[in-house]
Amino acid sequence: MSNIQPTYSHWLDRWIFTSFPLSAEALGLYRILYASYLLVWGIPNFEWITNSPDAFFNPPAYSIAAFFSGFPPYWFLQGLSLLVVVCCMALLFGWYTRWVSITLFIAIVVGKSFMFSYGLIGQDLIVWLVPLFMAFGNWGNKFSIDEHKNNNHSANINTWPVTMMALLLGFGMFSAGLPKLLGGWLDTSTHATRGHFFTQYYVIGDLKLLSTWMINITSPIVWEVMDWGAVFFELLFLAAIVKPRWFRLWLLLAIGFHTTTFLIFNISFHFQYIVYLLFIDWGKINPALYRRLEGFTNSLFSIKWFVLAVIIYLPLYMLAQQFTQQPGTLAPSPFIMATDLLGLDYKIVMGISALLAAYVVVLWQLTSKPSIK
Amino acid sequence: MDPETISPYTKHIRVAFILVAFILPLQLYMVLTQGNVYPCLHLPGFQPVLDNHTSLYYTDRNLYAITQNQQRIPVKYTTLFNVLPEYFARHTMNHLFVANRASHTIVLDKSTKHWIHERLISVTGTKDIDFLEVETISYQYNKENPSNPEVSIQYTLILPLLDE
Repeated sequence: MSNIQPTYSHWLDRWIFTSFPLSAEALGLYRILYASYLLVWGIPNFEWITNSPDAFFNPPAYSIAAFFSGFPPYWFLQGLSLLVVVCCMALLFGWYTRWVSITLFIAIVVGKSFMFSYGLIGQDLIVWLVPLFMAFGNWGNKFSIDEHKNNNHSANINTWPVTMMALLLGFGMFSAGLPKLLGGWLDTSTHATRGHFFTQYYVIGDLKLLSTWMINITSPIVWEVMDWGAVFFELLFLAAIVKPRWFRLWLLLAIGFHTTTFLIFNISFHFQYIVYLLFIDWGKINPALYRRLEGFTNSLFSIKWFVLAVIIYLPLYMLAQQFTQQPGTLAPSPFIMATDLLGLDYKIVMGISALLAAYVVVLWQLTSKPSIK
Repeated sequence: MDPETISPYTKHIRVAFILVAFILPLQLYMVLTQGNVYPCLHLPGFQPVLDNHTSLYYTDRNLYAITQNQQRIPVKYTTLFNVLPEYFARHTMNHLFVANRASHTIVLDKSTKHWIHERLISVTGTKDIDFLEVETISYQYNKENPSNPEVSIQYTLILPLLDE
């Protein structure tokens, strides 16, 4: 692990290249966590799209799908879904990591372009920008097949992709806050959050968690505080990217923000947490953990085990697809199937477990010794 | 140490950051002006449409399959469109069953009508279905009892499913 930190003369270079110092080990560990998150919690699936008549086809003006007149054939969607699965597994094992990361991003963007041709646009792109940019951070240099096979030409790791992700996340939040500001959320005579809550409650019919309690909260102060809080929290996210410490504080606020959204609106942004994990202080990880991980990955992360894992996982994945009653945007992952077996709402369980995991990470970060900067 | 001595790509990376910093506001401008954005550039938290934030009225749709002997069978939109994930079903329903304001009709091609007909037969278990009724209702906020809104029918449209 190299501790040599180059000094940059220009503030822009200092911000780009030194904001989030990371080691090759930390990047390798994050890659494993990211791929495991997808494989255990759910990989996007596009096969269900094929069951729709072309009258449902309503792509946005600026979309890959806008170049087509209808939905693609089944073989294409199945191929794309399987490609995503294989890419996630290759990412876990770190096999041709850079190319696999870029392929995963492209496959997801193509699939989601058709998925978002029903009039609904999802908000998870930030999750898929991670492999695109981390491919250039060389996150496959450690704990991977590449490490031993020398599949990566560049030996150095780069941390500028983490700063790029901070910029994109900060801007994403800012662009959520600006329309709210322009839309009159700060007008004290109206309660925008309450308006959205009513739609969620009456029209969508999400009556879980705290929503049935919140419906009777009529205090204008409570609802107005939420309006103002949401606007300023989202707008100032962009300013927070200037300093890593501010940015981490804002991520902490974001977890609180998502908790409120989850409890009141039943909307879980659990997929965001895997992105937030990129920005924690990785220097606080105990080196002993890396040594153990190295021993584990050295014995398990080989081409032989990778091929065996694909041979086992793919048929199970395809079999699970056959037994799925209601299609979902995620493939039936081990997590989804386990919650189904227990008769639980997987979205609620997913939201709660992601929140708990996020709070455990926050607690660990706050209580452990700061790393040397 | 000069950045250029660290990596031959330092300049390129700097340019990439500056480009992204210019592209992102451009995308925001598109979102604010068009309310429609390419999913590839769709970052978390975007809310392109912020209408009705002051309104306390919310519209919804009820669907009914109408049989030859005028029996009215309620059908949930999630059941009719259960080939799609739940959130997609609502958007598809709103896209398909939006009435033409001038003629107050729903215009669908033959194959889509056929698809809806087949789905209705399948989900209701009744073969003699001739029409789909689309009832647009509104919820009005009830100040005295927030959890019990007043519901009123805005308009009802009957969609013939069999070929004329």
